[in-house]
Amino acid sequence: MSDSYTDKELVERVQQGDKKSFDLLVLKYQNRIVKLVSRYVREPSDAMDVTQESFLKAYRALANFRGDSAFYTWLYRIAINTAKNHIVSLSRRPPEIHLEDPDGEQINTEELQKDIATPENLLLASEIKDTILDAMHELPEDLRVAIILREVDGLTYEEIAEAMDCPIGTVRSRIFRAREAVDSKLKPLLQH
Amino acid sequence: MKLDHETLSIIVDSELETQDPRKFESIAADQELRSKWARYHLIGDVLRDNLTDVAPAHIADGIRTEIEREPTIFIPQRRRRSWLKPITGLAIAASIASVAVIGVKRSDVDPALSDATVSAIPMQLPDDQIAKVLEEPITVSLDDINPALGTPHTKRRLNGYLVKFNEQRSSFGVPGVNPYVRIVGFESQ
Repeated sequence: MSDSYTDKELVERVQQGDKKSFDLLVLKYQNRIVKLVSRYVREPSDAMDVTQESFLKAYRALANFRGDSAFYTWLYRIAINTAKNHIVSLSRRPPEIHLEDPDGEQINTEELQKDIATPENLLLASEIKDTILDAMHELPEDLRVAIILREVDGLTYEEIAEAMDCPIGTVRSRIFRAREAVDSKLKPLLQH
Repeated sequence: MKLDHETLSIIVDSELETQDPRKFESIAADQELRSKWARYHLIGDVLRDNLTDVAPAHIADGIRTEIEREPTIFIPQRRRRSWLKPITGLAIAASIASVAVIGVKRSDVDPALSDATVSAIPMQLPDDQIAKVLEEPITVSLDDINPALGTPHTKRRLNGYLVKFNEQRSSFGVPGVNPYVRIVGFESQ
């Protein structure tokens, strides 16, 4: 079974008026789209805006999505086009306004925005990565191998069962237990 | 429908064997399941090195707020019965063929019968009058209605119109037309 099967079901639900299913698609793909957009848009705050705009465009165009390609492929194209349009709009934008502070020194508003947008995010993103990777190292080997074969190598349960020489039920259980172990470390970090 | 976390993990992997459409309803409606869905995907993204320096939570919240303001999409479900297509095509072809056959038959009809003949029962006539009328069929020629209708050019145009009417009627139905009326003609015997 492929990833796109779940996506297809979620897309059909959105097309039948279920907005909440679109939220599940956003939660699933947001990080991949941010990473994609960040290749084109340097500023983290801009990357977030472009990502948000890409998802909104996707939602508005979803009525015309016929499923000829996978949902992610379609979303990917929308995100790239939105990022490229953003770059074009930046080149047309008038030069940055430099405000003068009371001491007569100039303040770059772009820098100001950058400062507001990133430090907390940078720290949180770094903490998330460290927490997950540390939790992975602490996993028993059979759980770690199972989840890596699934998440990194993209193997199906059946393929993992063959590779690890165990029943599919065991694969399901190992992947779930691995996720739960990592999640127990991750959850407190995201609750702040 | 309450999903357990192991089932959620299987859904994240698109490996759930039973395709119950309610599963996504449950995830979306349950705050705990929804957050877990997000965290399970986040774990996968970190393992695949898909997390940038931007924290994820803010993006989804912002998009959710914007989507709430958007009009709801509703498109009719597509027909999955692909076998209907050739049958519909066949029905259209059959309609065209039957119209053509009837058209050919009519050209063989005795010219004396080519004028339209209409039998009608007047509503307020005495019984003896009705009997008399029924014995004598009323014949109406197109030339009586409008001499221009009898010209070959007009007949060709009317025929074209009727062929199109019958083609479209067979596939979509026409409101206001009795369903048992299969063929409509401007000439009849």
